[in-house]
Amino acid sequence: MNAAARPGPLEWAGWGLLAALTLAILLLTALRPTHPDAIVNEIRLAAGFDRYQAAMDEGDRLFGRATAEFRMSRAGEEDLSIEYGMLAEAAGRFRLAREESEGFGEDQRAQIRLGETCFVWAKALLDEGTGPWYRGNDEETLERARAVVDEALALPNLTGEQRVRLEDLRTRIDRALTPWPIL
Amino acid sequence: MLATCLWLAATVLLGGFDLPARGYAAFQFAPFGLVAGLLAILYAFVLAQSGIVRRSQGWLDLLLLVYWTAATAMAFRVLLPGPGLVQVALVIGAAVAAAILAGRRDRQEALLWLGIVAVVLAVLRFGLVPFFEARSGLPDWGPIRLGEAANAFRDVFVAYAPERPAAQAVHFGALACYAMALRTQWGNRTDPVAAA
Repeated sequence: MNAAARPGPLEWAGWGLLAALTLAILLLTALRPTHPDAIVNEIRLAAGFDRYQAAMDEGDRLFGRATAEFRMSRAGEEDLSIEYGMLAEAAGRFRLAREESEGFGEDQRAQIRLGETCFVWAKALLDEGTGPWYRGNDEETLERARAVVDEALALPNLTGEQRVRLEDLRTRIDRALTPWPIL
Repeated sequence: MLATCLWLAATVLLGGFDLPARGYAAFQFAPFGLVAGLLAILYAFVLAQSGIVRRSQGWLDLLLLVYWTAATAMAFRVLLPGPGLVQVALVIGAAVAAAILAGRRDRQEALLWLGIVAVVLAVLRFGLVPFFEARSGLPDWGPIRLGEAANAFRDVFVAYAPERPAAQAVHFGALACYAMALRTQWGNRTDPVAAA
C-alpha cells in the first residue's frame, strides 16, 4: 500500500465514529432502554455496584412516573394498563431491593416503598373495578386489587399509619366484592 | 464513502427513537420491522439501478449496501403509519412507486420521485392520521360505551400511538441525514443509466 492510499488520522477517526454509531445502534436495539436514568440504574444493577440503591432509585422513578400518569388520566375513561405495568415493575424493583438490603433499616425502607406502591395500585384497581350504579362491579379486577393489598399487608415492617390505610382499603374492596353489602 | 456511511448510521440512530406521549418511557428505540425492511431492500435495489446510489468495490460495496438498506428501512419506519389498513395501502403504493422510480431514465427525475414518495407518506403519517385520530373519537353515553367501539374501529385502519411534538424534530433530523447521504452521492461522475 502506498502512502497516498493509506488512510490519514481524520479518516481513522471517521471509521472509529462509524463503529461507535453502529455499536450504539446495536446496543439500543438489544437493551431497549426507556429513560436515561434507567440506563444508569440497569448498568449499576448488572455491574453489581450498589444494587440496593440502584433498585430503590429505579423503583422510585417508576412509581413517581406512574402516580403522575394517574393524576393526568381520566379515571374510568382511559386504559390504565401502562400505568399498572409501571407499578408492577416498581414493585418488582422494591422486592429486589429487599433481597439486596443489608440490615433492618434498608429492608424497612424497601418495605415501606413497596407498601405504598401496592396501596396506589390497589386503589386504582378498586376505582376501575367499581363503576356507576347501572354497571356491575368487575370482580376480576377487584380480586386482583385484593391480592395486591394482601401482598402489602403481609410485609412485616410497615408503619402503623400505612397498615391502617391498607386495612381500610381492604375493607372497601371486600364491600365492593360482596353482592349484598347490607347483609 | 465513509461520509455516506456516517450519514446513514445517523439516520438509523435518529430514526429509531420514539418519544411516546403516554407511559413511563421517556424514549424508546424501535428497530424497523419486516415490512419496512422488505420495502427497503426493494428501494436499495432500485436506487442502485437508477444510479442515485453510487456503488463501490469489494467488501466496501457490501458494507455500503447494508447501510443504505438499513437507513432506507428506518426512513420507511419513520414515514409509515402504525399497522392497519392504511399502512397496507401505503406500502402497496410505495412498492408501485418503486417500479415508477426504476423506470426513470434521468437520475434527477428518479430522485424527484423518491422525494415525492417521502412527502406523500409524511403528509399521511404526520398530518392526516393524527387529524382523524383527534376528531373521530366518541364519548361514552352512560352504559353505552361508544368510545371503546370507536377506538376498536379506528385501530382497524391505524394503530395510532401518539408521540410528543419533539419526536417530529428527531424524525426530521433522521430524514435530513438521509438526504445528506444522498447528497454525498451527487459527485462528478457519469450517469450509468445515461451512459448505458
